[in-house]
Amino acid sequence: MKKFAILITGFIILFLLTGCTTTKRFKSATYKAQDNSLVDMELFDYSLTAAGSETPGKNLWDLSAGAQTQLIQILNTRYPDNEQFTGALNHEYMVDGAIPAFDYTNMDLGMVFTISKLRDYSVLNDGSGRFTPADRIEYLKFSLEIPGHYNLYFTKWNRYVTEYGEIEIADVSFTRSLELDAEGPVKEKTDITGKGTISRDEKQEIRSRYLKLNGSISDTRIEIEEEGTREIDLSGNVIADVSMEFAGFPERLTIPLFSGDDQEGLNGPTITALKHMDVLVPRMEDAPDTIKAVLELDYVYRHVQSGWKTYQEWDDQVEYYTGTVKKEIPLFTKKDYLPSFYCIGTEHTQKRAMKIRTGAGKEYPLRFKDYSDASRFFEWLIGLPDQGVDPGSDNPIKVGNDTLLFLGKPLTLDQVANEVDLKVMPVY
Amino acid sequence: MYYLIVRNLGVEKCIDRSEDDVYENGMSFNCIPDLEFSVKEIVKKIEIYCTENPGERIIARVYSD
Repeated sequence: MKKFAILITGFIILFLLTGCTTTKRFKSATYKAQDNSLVDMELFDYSLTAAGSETPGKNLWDLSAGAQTQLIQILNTRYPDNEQFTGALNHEYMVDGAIPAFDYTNMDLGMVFTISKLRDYSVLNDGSGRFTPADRIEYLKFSLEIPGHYNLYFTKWNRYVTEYGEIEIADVSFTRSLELDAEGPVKEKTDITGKGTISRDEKQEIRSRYLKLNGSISDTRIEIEEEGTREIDLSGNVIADVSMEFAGFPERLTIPLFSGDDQEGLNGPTITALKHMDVLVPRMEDAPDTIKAVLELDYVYRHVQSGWKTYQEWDDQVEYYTGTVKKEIPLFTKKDYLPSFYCIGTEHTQKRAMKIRTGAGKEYPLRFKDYSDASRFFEWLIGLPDQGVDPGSDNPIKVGNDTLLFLGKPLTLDQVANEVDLKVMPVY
Repeated sequence: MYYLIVRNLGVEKCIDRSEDDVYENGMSFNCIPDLEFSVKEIVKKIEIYCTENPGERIIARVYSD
């Protein structure tokens, strides 16, 4: 009888040691059903910035070592103040006649997604309810797809951030785990109460890992797959930074080169030449107000039917639900992707803008890269009659070999003086 | 007169014109010019290449005056 009691006690201890352990995922698990209402996902915020533009300038560090030494000595004599000296060292000097290159088709897009659970506390103690405080999103896969008619393509993953960690990707696809900084065994002390009190240290040879991530990118689609390890809920914000490129359409910009500001005469700025620069702009027949994308989310929801009163998961009776969310979301707006080009002309029944005829007889649009260039050119143009030239003259206005055109004919001083509706206006 | 017109970001421009309708699918044009045009009716819709950015076809329309 005594042997039997010892055997029973041994079985109970063995049962407690193997049953009540933090290495168990759950007490029981069943798949219940598909429920698309348990999780939702939105694009919470975004930022669209132009990819870096190249300025064809040079600074001191582009010189040879000997030239650097000599110039540093000269600058040190001229600018004894520390701040001025550092500024002089790093100053960028434009190469004579060079024009900065601008890129209007490559953009960096930062997106902040928010993933939320349905939190219905009114069904907390309802056996048929599908929410407890211990519930979590265990797995999710979401994709963002851009419809083909936008001619807009993903080119590169840059960064992916969740509340558990951040990874720099700089590649087209990735497979990563976000882990704790400190590696090695994690000690957990577990107290188990049976007949008496048994205390033991459980050494886990499991590295504490938060997330497993997979990501892939193709021309029109990015996809992320996240799997949380124990007690990790995937709800929250995630940030995805990607690079994008529009298909390009060629346009020509005009850069007016003015005489130096300090030398401007009483009659305003003087144009010394017109430089032309060919750029690529996004290729779309129309400019939609909003670029939209299709967001699709598949998830696995871990509902704790019982055992949710404890923090540990080993005593949970788990019911799994799967779900899908698919929606069209606004990605960014017209003002974000349209180049801010300006032209000069009138806008009565339709927009009519000035053009340029080159010495070779070719006709191009007269477009400026920004409002500043356009308004200075306009100021110069309307100031021409005050520069001693007869306003009634029907001589065409020329800058170098370029002739200005308006309404299909060479622009004259008479038109400038009398065309009161000429103004600077946006191209798009 | 026939006019070859492209539309981008909602803005139309004429990149070529000809006395005869010489325009066919797959032809290449300089897409930067902006010629004066007055059109009455559309003749056809074709796909052309821009010499400045080859490799991608763009939609162009041929109009007559």
